[in-house]
This record gives sequence, C-alpha cells and structure tokens, in this order.
Amino acid sequence: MRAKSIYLHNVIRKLPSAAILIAFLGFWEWLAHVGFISQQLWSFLVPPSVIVARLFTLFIEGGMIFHISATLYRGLIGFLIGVSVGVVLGLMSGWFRALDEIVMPIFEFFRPLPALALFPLLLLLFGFGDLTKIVAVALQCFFATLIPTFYGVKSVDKLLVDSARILGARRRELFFDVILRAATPHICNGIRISIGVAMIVVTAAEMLIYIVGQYGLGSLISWTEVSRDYPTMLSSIVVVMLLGFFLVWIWLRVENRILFWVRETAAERV
Amino acid sequence: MSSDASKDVARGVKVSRRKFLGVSTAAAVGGIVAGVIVGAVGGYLAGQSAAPAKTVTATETRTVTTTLAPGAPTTITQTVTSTLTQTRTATVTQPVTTTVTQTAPEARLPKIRIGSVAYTGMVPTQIAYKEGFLKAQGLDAEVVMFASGAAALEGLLGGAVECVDGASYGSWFMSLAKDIPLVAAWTGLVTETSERPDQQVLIRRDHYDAGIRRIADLRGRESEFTIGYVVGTIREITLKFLFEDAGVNWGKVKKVNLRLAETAAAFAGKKIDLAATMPPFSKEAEIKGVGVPIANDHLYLWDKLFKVDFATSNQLLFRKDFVDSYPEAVRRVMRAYMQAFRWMIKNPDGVRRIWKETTGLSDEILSKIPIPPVEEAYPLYQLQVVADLSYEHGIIGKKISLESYAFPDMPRMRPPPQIQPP
Repeated sequence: MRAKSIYLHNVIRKLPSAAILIAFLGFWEWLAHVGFISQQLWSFLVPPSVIVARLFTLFIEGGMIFHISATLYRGLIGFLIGVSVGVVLGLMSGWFRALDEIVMPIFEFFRPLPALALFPLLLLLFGFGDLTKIVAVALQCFFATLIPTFYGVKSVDKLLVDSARILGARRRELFFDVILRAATPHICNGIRISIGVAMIVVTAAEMLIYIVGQYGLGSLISWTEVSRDYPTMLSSIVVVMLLGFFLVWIWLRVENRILFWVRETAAERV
Repeated sequence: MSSDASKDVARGVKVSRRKFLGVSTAAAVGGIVAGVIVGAVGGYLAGQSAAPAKTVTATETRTVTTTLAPGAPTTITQTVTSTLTQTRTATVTQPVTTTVTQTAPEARLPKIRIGSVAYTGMVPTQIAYKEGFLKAQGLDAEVVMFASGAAALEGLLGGAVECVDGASYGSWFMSLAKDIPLVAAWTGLVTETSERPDQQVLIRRDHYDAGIRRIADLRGRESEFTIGYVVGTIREITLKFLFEDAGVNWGKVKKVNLRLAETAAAFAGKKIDLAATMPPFSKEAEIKGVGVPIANDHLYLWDKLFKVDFATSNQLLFRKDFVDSYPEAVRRVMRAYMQAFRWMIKNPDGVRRIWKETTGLSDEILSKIPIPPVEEAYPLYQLQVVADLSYEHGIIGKKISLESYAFPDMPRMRPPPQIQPP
C-alpha cells in the first residue's frame, strides 16, 4: 500500500512533462495531416507515426542493433578513457598544489575548445577509422570530468580536513577517507555530464567522418540525410536521444548507490 | 516542501482524489496551452517562410516564333500559356513562319534567395549577383553560401532559400526517388570536356610513382585502397561505372565521405589513396604535388552513354510549389544566369577575381583552371538515361521521370537514340 502510494505520487509528478510531450507530438502529427508539412516544404519533418513505424522496421529488419552497438562501442571506450584520465588528473591537481599551479591554467585555457572544432585536425592525425572518434570523445569527456573533479577537491570543507588531521589521520587516509569522499558528488556530476557529451560527440564524429557502409548511428543519420530517407534519419535521431536518456538513467541508479550517504530532499529525488 | 511533509510522503501517505484530479487537470491544461502556443508560433513561421517578403510587378511581352521545317505536318496547333493560364492558339500551315505575340499580365516576383557553394563551377551565381544581372531582371535576389550542395538542398527544403545552385543531378535524382518534387531549371551549361575536365579522380602521388597510372591498375588490390568523395552526389553513379568498367570491384574499395576542401590535406596526410574531387581542390592537390589526376569519371560516363566529349552536372533546383506559384521568377533567374555565362566567356580575369574572393585560393591555382564553355540547351533526355541507369544499378530506389520536373521553358538538347521525347 505504501509502495503503491509512493509509485502513484511519482507518476503524478511526471504527468505535466508527459502531457506536454504528448501535446507536442500530437501537434506535429496534426501539422502533417493538415498539410503544413508537405512533400516540398519541411518534408524532412516526417510525422511521429511514420517515425515509430520506421523504428520497428529498422529494429526488426534494418540492423539498427548493429548501428547502436557500433556507436556504443566507440562512445564507451572514449568515455572510459576520458573519464578515467579526467578523474585521476583532477584529483591529483586538486591534491598537489604544484600540479595545480602548473597544469590547471593550461587545461582551463583549452577547456572551451570543442572537440568538434578539432575534427579536421583529428582526421588528418588519425584517419577515418574508429580511433578518430574515440579520441574526440575522450578529449571532450576528459574536460567534462577534470574540471568538476578538481573543484570538488578544492571545495572540500577545511574544517573536515583539519578535524581529520587533529584526529591523527595520515596523508593517505586524509585523501581517501575525507577528500575523495567529499569530492565524490562532484565527480559523479562530471561523469553524468560526460555521458551526454560522449553521445553528442560520437554521433557528430560519425556524421562527419565516416566510411561508407560502416555501422554507427551518426553515419546512418548522415547517409539517410543525403539520400533523403528522412523517416530513417529521424528514427535514428530518436534512437540517439533514447540511448542518451537510457544511459543517464542507468548512471543515476548507480550514482544513488554510490552516494547513498548523501542526504537529498524529496524535491531533488529523481 | 518541509522535511516533515517529506517524511509523510516517504511513509506513504494516501494521495487524495482532489489532489490527483487537480494535478491531472493542471497537466492537461498546461499541455493544451503549450500546444496552442507552439502551434501559433509554428504557423507564423510557416507563413513567413512560404510568403514572399516583397512583391514586385512587371509586365512582359513575349514573342514566340515557330518555323515549320519541310515535311512537318501541315497543321499545327500551338498553345501559348501565360503565367495566369490564359491561352491563345494559332493554327499554322507549312511552310510558313508564324508569330504569336502575347502580352502577359503583370507578374508577381518574390524575393529570391539562391543557395550556392564555393566551387569554381558555381561562379555564375556570384557573377549574376555581383554584376547585377539578377537585379536587371527585376529580381530582389540574395546569395546564401552553404558548405556543400547537400546542405544547400536542406536549406531549400527548409525554406531558407528558394533556389539552389550547386546540387548535382545525383542529389536531384535522389530527391525525386523519395517523392520530393524539385524542379530543375537551366542556366547555361557548365560543360566539362576532355580539355577542360571538371570532375576528376586523383591518385596519391606515391601510388602514381609506384606505377598505378589507371583505374584498371587497381584490379585485384581494391580492398587496399581508400577513396574519398562527397557521398550522395552524382559521384555515386559515375564512379561505380568508371571502376566496374575497368574491371575493378567497386564494392571492395573502401569509401569515405570527404569534404572537397580537405582533398589536398587528406592526400598529404596519407589518409586516402584516391579522391574524386573537382576544381579548385583537384588543381590544388595537383599543384602541391600530392595528387595526380588519372581519370575523369563524369566524362567517361557521358562518353560511354552518348559518345560525346562533354558532360554536365549542374542545374538550378527549385521547389515545385515555388515554380507553380512564380514561373516568371524562374524564367528571369534563368535569363540572368545565361547572361552571367556569356559575361564569363568575355571576362576571364573577372571570373578569376570572383573565384579568388569565393574560394580564397591562390592565383597560381586559379590561373590553371580553364573558363568553362556555355551551352544553351538543357540535356534533359541525356539525364533521363542516366537516371534510368541509376535505378537499374540500385543507386536510386525508384524509377523516375524527369520530364515532369524540368522547367517547361527550357530548350532541350537533341535526345539520344535511347530515348524518345514525349
């Protein structure tokens, strides 16, 4: 009974956003049926019903699973590399002052540069294969994780650090039991942002740099755009959106487990 | 919400019916309001992109002269149609020359935004605009530059431009095969000949030095080579025929999407072995010594099909609804382009100046690109043959008829033997 009420309460909280989404999709469908979206003007705005039908076809007959796998493979490897290096370097830079003073200004200088702007250079360095895309994802995820991690370490309450020292904590214990724990919410935040960034960059990289016939959601979007197969193009875009949403949803479940000791208000609970 | 209230929720306090109905109603109302607002904005934007920004009226008098050749039927009824579907018929008998004069009512001329790309073959757009030929036709015109012909086509379909110069007939075929009605209008042919090749296949210098001098030299080694080209253009058609006729398995050659401006850099970085490109980028790669031209895929196809030493790839593309609404505007754009082409022939230095402004390339490269010749007639029937072949070879998914999508007021080239005009 209690669980049912909590579930019902959560459903009610999501009703407004669901209603807006349904209204938007219904309006889009209506535009197509009354002729606002014609075969000529805005022909690429295929109605939602056609997109859904095409999605089914793509999953059953069109090899969509292979495209998803290829994109996930490139995105995941780049994400893991970028996040690992970003977290480690962020922790080290926050912990060692010398590293902070030497390295962080350089990274802050390069941080605003989007990986997409480097595509032509990455293409010439690494070619048309998967490596270029993985490097692009890793670069962007690196910055997306480095900065929150660094500032997470820097923002640890000095009172906690002093208290631990007074209680006899050694340097190693201070780092792992105080600094790292206190910075973990920031690190998790950076990782959550990196998931979205990884999806954006890997899809864009596949769109710009692809081998004809190669699997990948971005490649599929690009090819169907030039061949005017707009239902497949929009279906692929929907899959990218759903994939990103699903990955973030999984991470939030993981994050809740990692951060079980962080008190949250009911308004912040997902 | 206070922490006590949070705890109450956490303990599973029963949700009241009033609260449920209240929130549901608020959600429904919010959704409807949002839908109305989005609909109003969307309708406004749709109206803005469809409606002409400015209307200019003009009067046109057009004279049509028909000369009947010996042996022609003795009686011919010719129908002249004005922009407002007024018709007048004339019955003539041979051998006479008859003149039908018609004064069209005032024509509405909308603002015309022409999408173009920075390739040397698209310089007539710049000439027509900068030298005032479009303005002289009474058109309020603007040129919008895109990164590629494909992007320009997207702009056409999205209403950002009314016309595109720079999308090849391959893109046109693909659009028609997907039931997107785009109408082609003629401008004056940017002809390529064997003396003035436009679309070429280049091979990397080290491969050329190692003895690969022809496409046929790739036989048996297809999977070792990577070719870069702009995917989804006429190159899909021309390269397939070029390679397969040379005995090279086109399916085994690795193909990558390459922006033309990256040709030289991709060669220099050894990221590709072959490139299907065009001036000025082909010339740039040649001058820098990184690429060597070994074939002209487009000329090859036209020679194979029609036994001619020329080929064409370009036309202006309009949305069909625009052509139906403003045929006079399309005629005037065509006239302006034809004037631009004739200006090109007379002013090669002016052409190179505009090339330099548009592409940013050096005089050394641009001076080596010959000025294209002009042709008055549109090769509609020849393109129909290519379209039929494209369908037979699976490049497009549907058989298409180009006659319905070619602007009526265009002289056509003589049809090849394979096809009879309607």
